[in-house]
Amino acid sequence: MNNIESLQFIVPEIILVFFSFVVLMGGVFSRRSNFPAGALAFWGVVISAVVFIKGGAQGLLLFSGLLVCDPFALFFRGVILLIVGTVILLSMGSARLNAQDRGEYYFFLLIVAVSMMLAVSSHNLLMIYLTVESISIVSYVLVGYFRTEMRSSEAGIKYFVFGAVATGVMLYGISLAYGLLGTLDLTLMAQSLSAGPVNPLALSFAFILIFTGFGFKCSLVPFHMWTPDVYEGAPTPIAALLSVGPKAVGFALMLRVFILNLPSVIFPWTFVAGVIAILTMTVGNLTALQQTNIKRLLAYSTIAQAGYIFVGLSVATALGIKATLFYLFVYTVMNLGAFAAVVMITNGVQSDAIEDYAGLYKTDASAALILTVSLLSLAGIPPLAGFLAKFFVLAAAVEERMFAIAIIAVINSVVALYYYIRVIKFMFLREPKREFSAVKSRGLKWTAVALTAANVLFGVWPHPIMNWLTNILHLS
Amino acid sequence: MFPILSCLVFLPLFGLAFILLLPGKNALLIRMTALVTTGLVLAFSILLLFQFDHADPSMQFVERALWIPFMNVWYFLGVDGISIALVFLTALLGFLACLASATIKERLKAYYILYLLLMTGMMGTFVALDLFVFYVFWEAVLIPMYFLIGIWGGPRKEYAATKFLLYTLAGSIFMLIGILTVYFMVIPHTFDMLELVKVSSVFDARFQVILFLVFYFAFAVKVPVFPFHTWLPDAHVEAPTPISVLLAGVLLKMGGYGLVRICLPIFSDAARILAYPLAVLAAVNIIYGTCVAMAQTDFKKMIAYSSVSHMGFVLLGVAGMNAAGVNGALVGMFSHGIVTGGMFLLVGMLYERAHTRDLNHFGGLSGHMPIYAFCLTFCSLASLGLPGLSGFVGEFLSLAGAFPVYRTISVVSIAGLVLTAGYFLYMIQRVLLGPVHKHCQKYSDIGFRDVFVLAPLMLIAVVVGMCPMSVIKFQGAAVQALVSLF
Repeated sequence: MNNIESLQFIVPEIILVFFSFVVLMGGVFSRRSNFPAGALAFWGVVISAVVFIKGGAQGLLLFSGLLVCDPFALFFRGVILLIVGTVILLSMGSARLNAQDRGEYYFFLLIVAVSMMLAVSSHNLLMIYLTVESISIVSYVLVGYFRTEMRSSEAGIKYFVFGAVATGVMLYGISLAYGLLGTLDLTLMAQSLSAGPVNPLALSFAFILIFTGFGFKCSLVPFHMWTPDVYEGAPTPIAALLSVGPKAVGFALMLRVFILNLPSVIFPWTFVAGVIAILTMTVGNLTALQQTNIKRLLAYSTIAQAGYIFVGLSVATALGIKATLFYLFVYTVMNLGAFAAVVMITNGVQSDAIEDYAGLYKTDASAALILTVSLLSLAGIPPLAGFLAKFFVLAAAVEERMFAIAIIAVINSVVALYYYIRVIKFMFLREPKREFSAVKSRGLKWTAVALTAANVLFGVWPHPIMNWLTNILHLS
Repeated sequence: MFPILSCLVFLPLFGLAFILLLPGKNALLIRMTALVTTGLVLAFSILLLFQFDHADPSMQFVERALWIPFMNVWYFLGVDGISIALVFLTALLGFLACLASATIKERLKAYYILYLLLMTGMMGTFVALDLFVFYVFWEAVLIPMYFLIGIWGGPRKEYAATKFLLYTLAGSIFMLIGILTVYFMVIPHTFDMLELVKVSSVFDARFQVILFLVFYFAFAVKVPVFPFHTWLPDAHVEAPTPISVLLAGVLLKMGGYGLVRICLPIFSDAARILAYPLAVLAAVNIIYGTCVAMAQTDFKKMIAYSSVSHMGFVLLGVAGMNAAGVNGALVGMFSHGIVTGGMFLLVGMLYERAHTRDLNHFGGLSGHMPIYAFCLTFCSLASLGLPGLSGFVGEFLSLAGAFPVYRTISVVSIAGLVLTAGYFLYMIQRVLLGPVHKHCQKYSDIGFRDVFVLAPLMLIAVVVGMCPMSVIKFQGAAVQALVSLF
């Protein structure tokens, strides 16, 4: 499809770009006044989401094959719109962010959203590189957004250094793949793979390098080192964004490149991915045990969660892919719920130390409850959605007789419960050490409540998502 | 048909939702709501008893609805003779422990919310017939229990609550893999327990043994079977009285129930192979439990360890794998729930007055507290297996079932009975008899509410003891059907 015709399929992205500039310019020209940048950005996302839901074209190659509009892309674009909308609400509710200039902040957020949506639609390695790089560059800025603060700046720099290396490595892999296969289009690559012999060692090397770039985004072990430092230093809503957005992109790209388009003829995908999944969840969980800062704890918990998600991808059966997508969606809901609660609590407590959460049931019961439900869901306690997600992933592994992965995964979930329950212990079993008052923010509270309700609802009634996923898998 | 089982399971959730809307300060209204809810559950369970068809060994009051279509998960509930007594026990103890919760004074709203959540989990476990649903209810018990011990418990509550949570989760999480393995083994894939019993012959014996052990591990932690019992003394001792009652009365039964409902029928070949080790473990439980109980100076800990030995008799009956043994195990579980529930209530009443549970700090209470002394003696006698009271029936039947199969083990277990009598009588001597201890001068006797809570339990203990058929007639047909698999 040519470029002009293709435009109609990326209207949601165009709307976001439009709003991002409105927000930026508004912020520049009305710096003194109370410019509602957040609200504008949020409505931009809402309008974009409405347009997105209305549009229904599928399976088309756009812009001469650079983008694809298949069901998977639609799924991930929907998830990203959900993520960015929620993150905007969290940012509006964050007391610390509100004290700063806001126009450019929301501009960056919307640009990240556009980049992520284009990344999950990419059908060409060059496009993948460009979008991933633009996600990264904007994220560096957002992570270091508290300019005057050492930790935030440090996190920004750290993220930049790690990210630059990772994308550099990925670019090198892409160039090798191009040299070997003579094309960057995923369909053509698959064709030329099946057409003639290619040096398997060189090709495996190229794909491992590409995988590194994706693994960095998903914070898979051993590419996870940046995660805790960056989460700790970044503004909490941005940590929330990084914990779900780029992860969704990373998994989407792995799914698209390694499973849908270039099936594992290249290197023993199931084995390699399985080992990485095991390592990721084990390292994440064991390190999380010793954390005293809630954001670092959540950082390691997201690493562990990425491991579970990756189990589904490593199995790569129909059930495995379905389980992965379901887990990703549920993970988005529960992790955003946890971060929403952390933002609420930080507004009042002014601290990220878990010790300072003592006796939270007295001072801010709703935040404590929301965090508890989110953490229990992350731990996989029925009847919350996190349990179903873990259950499906385990089912995928057991169906393929991958008992080792299943057993390690369940042992890990016991370990994980220990550190999740520690936070809950401080909130409910201890008495408060000092007095503080909860800072109320209506929008934030209702966002968190909605996420929690979704968490419970999808645990007992997963049909809406399941039907959606079944449609996706049937159509592709 | 009226969905009576769903009502039993989900009524507490309605009560919970109602309490959620009440203001936290209105203690009376919160208490009344919880009482009415648990009372209704009890009423429904009695209705269930009356409508139950004794002669029918199959599932009754069945409710089925497709829950998660693509994994073939059914919301599938039903009761048969194996579960009906436990359903009634859960409802009864749920109501009485709710009455006994009057001693809880702080954070009432949260307490009753968690309490009702716990009720739903316990009840659901006993009526679920789909492995997935069973697992959901089984795990759903953990979190409310964690909070109930952790917030309202004794001095070491955090430790006890965390240990309980991690221990039982570690036990049961492997069951999830077991459930999935069973699911993918049979064609068509199903979680339906009844269906699995029919097709279980597709598993070869070695595979069955592995799966049996995976499930057994989850149940053994709950029962608890030696050596997985170490969470029990901590949890029982630190939990507040009403929660101890539910822990001992209902939660331990979930383990025994799981063995009888899932392990025996679905993995019947493995059960035959593993019966002997089970019997040995049962004897270890009995002897070990009694010996440790005898050495305790903490009243509550003594009762906790007595549970270990009593559940040993239940396990012994199960290991017998004949009608007498399984009947004995089921009656034993019911009776243990009634009697040990009563014992924990009695300990709690004493603790309210003395603020200690050290057996050496009591003495000569029979003069000051005659009603209490009567109740304590009564429950102790029921617990140590005096003929004519309920404890005897279960133990006798278990032994009668086990003796023809395992002579030595049964004889060793009988020695446990003597030791049990020993530590209960020793306890009575220290608490009730002898000179009046200087701390015990001022204690008042138990009041009307306490008697009201204890009376039904003692009455049931007598009825079951005098007329064992009152329980056995409910379960006989189902047990016969079960043992015919072996």
